[in-house]
Amino acid sequence: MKTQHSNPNRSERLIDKALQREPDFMVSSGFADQVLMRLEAKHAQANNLEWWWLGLGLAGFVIAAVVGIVLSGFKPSLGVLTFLSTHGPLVIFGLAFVIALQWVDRRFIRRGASPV
Amino acid sequence: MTDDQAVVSRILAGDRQAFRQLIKQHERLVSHMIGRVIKQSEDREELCQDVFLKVFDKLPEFGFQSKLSTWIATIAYRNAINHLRKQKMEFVDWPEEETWSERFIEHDNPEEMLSERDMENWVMKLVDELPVQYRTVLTLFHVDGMNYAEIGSVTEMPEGTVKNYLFRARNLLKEKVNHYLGERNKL
Repeated sequence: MKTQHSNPNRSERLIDKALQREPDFMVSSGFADQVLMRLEAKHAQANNLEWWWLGLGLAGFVIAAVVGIVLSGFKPSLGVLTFLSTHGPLVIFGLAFVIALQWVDRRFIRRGASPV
Repeated sequence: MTDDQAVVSRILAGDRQAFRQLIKQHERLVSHMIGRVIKQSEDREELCQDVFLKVFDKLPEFGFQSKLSTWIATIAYRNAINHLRKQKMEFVDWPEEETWSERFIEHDNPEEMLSERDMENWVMKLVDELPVQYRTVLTLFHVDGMNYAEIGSVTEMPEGTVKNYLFRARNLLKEKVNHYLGERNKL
């Protein structure tokens, strides 16, 4: 490689000065606002999509239920409720157990979790 | 809790102003990265926005294993490189051949006598002609003040490679400038 060393100090100084200069490109003054606007739009779009999926799921569930009822000739009966009415204490114990689990979760488990 | 941790906690709690603050603090760093890697000016601003949208999405996964600025620079660098690959633009692992370096040094010297300020502009243009990896390490080191380890973390290069690239990039620029100054002295 051919090199002509003419005034190496000057070239070093020039290079140092040039390298410390910022590149020409800088974002525009309203940059942060534009990012936040895009973020909001993205979230709105994601929410819309979630509602669409929820609607589709519910519609699918209703259609499947109707088809199932028609095909199987299902007739509703209060059999389960009749059974529960004769086992009151069991129902009360079940409800109390679920409430106790919720309390333990909020009081001890979620409190220990750190967001970062 | 450091300032960065406080800002991240506020963002994760849903505070949009905290995110605006994060953007303001790091927009220069991101624009340096994108500006140095991507030459097409029309793509740059949108790419910078994409970087911050990705930062927002990935923030819950960030565990402060590195400085926040290093992590953001990493996302910016990867975004820029992916953009180059998608557009099938110039992305060389590194032109090792001597001929490339010789061409860089000997060709396209300015014909007129440049003033000191013009010389600086010319050197900045020369930086833009260097391969992407050289431009990136030079910018992170000289403009953003990162150390070798941080640059290695951003670019996923070993520290030794970062030092080597910095040395070779500076050397190429020096050879080029010396070549021009030598030619000029002959006139």
